[in-house]
Amino acid sequence: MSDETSSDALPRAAFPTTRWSVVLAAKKRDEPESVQALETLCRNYWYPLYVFVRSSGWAPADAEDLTQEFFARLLEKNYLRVVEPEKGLFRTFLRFALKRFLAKEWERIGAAKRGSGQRPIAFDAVLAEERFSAECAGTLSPEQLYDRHWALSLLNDAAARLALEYEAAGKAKLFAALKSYLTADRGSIPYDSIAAALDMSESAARVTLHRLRKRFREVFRETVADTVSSAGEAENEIHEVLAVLSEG
Amino acid sequence: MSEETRCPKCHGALSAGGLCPRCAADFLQSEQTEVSGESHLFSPPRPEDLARMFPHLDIIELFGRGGMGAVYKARQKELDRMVALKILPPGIGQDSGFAERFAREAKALAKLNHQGIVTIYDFGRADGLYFFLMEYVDGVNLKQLLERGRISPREALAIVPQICDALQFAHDQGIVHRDIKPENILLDRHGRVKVADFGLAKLVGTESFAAPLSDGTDPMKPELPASLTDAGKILGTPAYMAPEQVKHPEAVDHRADIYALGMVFYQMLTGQLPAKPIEPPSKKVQIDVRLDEVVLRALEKNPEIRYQQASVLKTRVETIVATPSKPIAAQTHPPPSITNMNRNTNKSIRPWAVSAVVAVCLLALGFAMFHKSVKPTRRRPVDYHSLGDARQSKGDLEGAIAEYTKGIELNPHDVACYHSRGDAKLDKKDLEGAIADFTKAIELKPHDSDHYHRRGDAKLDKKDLEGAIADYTKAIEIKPDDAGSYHRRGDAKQDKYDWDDAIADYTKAIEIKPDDAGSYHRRGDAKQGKNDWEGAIADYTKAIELTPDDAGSYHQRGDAKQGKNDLEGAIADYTKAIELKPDDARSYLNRSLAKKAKGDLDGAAADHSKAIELNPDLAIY
Repeated sequence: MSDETSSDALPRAAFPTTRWSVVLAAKKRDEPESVQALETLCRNYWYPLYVFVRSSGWAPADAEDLTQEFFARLLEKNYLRVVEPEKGLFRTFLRFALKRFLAKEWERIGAAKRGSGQRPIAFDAVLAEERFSAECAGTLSPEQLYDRHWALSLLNDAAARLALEYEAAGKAKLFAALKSYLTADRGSIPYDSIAAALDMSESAARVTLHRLRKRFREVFRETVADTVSSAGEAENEIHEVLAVLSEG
Repeated sequence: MSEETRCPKCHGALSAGGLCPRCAADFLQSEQTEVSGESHLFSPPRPEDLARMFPHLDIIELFGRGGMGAVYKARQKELDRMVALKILPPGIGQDSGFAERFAREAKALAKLNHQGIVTIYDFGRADGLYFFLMEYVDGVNLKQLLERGRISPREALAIVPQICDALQFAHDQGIVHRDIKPENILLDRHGRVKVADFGLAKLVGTESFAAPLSDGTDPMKPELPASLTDAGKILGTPAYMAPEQVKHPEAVDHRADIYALGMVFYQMLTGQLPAKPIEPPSKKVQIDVRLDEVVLRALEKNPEIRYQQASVLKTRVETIVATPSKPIAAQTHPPPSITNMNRNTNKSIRPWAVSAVVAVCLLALGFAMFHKSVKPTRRRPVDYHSLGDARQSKGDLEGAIAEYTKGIELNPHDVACYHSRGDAKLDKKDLEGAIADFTKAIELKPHDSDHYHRRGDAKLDKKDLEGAIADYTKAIEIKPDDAGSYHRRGDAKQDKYDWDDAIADYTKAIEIKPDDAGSYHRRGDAKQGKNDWEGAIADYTKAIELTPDDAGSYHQRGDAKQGKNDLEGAIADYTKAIELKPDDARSYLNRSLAKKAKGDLDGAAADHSKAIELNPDLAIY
């Protein structure tokens, strides 16, 4: 695996240690940061997994049990060593690990044991099922649905991170007011009404919104990059995710 | 505020977070445009509209779009020659001085008459759009070549002097390019370099595409007065820009072009842009170390220390090429000296070396070839391929790669060398390198199933399962009775947990080659995957029949028997496996699980301890 950093005339930070690369690097050593990183990753991306399980044919109650149990296993000490993720994307690793779990382990866990372990990744099963019924009718395969909802999760995650950033800077109101223009067409943005709403000059409004949108792009890239294991993969994965999003 | 469930722009469904995925993707994709100078407000005119504005031209198609505008392929009707029509973005020309500046600059550029520079035939303004009419270059650009795979050092050394010639010529006329990058370096079918877009960066970059604000400030950078900024756009392409060009864009001189050339040179040699700190190219690829000095000096941050003239750089490169490097020890035959090779070629490397690569690239890009590129026959005094094979058989993979590489440098069409080098790289786990080599072999000889098969192997190793499957499928397409490719494709599908598809492939492999124990074994694995215990047992039994000493097949049959709860049978098979392979921790472990299920707790504990003794990682079970 080669670590490529392109030499810009402009300074650019070295490829940051992403959550997934932290997990991969540490899997043999069982460090708390890696467990923490893995937990955070799982917390953000459980829904695509649920979608995968449900669209594979499992009933809602089973799907909930299954997904929960899978995460419990994943976060168990040393499980990563058994499952042996290769370098690569968190997205594909998770799906393969789940498929393998379904194929080899779920059946062997006695009915009595199901649901009796801890639930480290709590999610709202009722909400999950509601979303699933609303969003996932149709002819896409489980893998396609998984990828689609993965991409959507990334998008929402990025927006959420951005919101947190602005909140931390004391600009929560600003964010709320500008949020709907995050991805709008540049030509159609009503700078005058924004300026009025925020009580600033129009040129200030332009600058503010431009900064927000620029930052959103950056945060999106960072969010995707968090799920890859090398700089070389990031560009490709961003490209893939955007392609999936473009299909709606 | 009412809840909107549809996107106001495209009317598609919104995601749970309230964002429209399609519009978001659109927005996020346009990320690069603000840095590289493209305006996403610019949508190029359609060919029909242009036909109106240029009645003397046959507008054929739009074939390029960049920060400097849009380029169309066209035919000058009366002269019956192909031309390129470049239309600058409509946002240009808003300030009063522009028209005059344009005329002045364009005149100077049109005077640049050199075989290495894309000639400007005409320029002007039509219907409010500024345009250039230029030489049409039938070929590829360096960016496309680099994307196909690394250019060989030989080719790079044929290209760089030509760029130097072009640059020196322009510099002598007082014109600086300012945006030298692979995309602007064109190569025609004869391997001749043509540098495009001279001087345009300066002409185009000083315009503001965003509407200026009434108080004169730049909306993108309100803290700086408009005269010092350029609407948030940067002149040139950041990666190739000299440091002084970044800091003081207005004050650069021709030495910035030399820096950019250094970047391109580095990229041609190594396939990458340099990281910080810069690693000399000879550390990354096998080239003459004297070239390091040339590249690094071109990339000097301080323009005073850099090469001051492109022609000096060229001379240095040619000198290195013309004089032999130090002899390498441990060779059975002396390598041909580079002087010998150049005996017929006036001391410079003929462009033919490059034309071959251009031809291949064009074929790959789907162009029809009108001219045959002339390849002088070359006597190969040394068979590097055999040398490489010899080394590989001794296990010296690095040495083998070196020999194959020499063979390739000697003859860029040496399919066998590429393939064998790919094999060696695969063995030493340089998977990306292997894939690149097999890809090259495929390019050179597209109807050889072997190349696809091996590339599939490399992709499988790196877990690019879809890629591997595609390659095996292609191999099978070319050679339908290739049991091995079916088998490997089955492996790839199994890794994806596509049990049924995998089984189908193994079955096919068995059909073609009925004595292949391995295919029975793997089919057994796939059947286990979908819990077909009986089927799996049958297959393992057949595998054992064919190779009675295979511990692995006994072990797997044990797993299958355990799956269907035949604990006695499982234990017997594990025992046999252990007998054949006494240090297999997993067999002990699985046997302990079987014993535990049967109620033999002491036996289970003993086996468990033995397993951990052999492999401490298994302690979690």
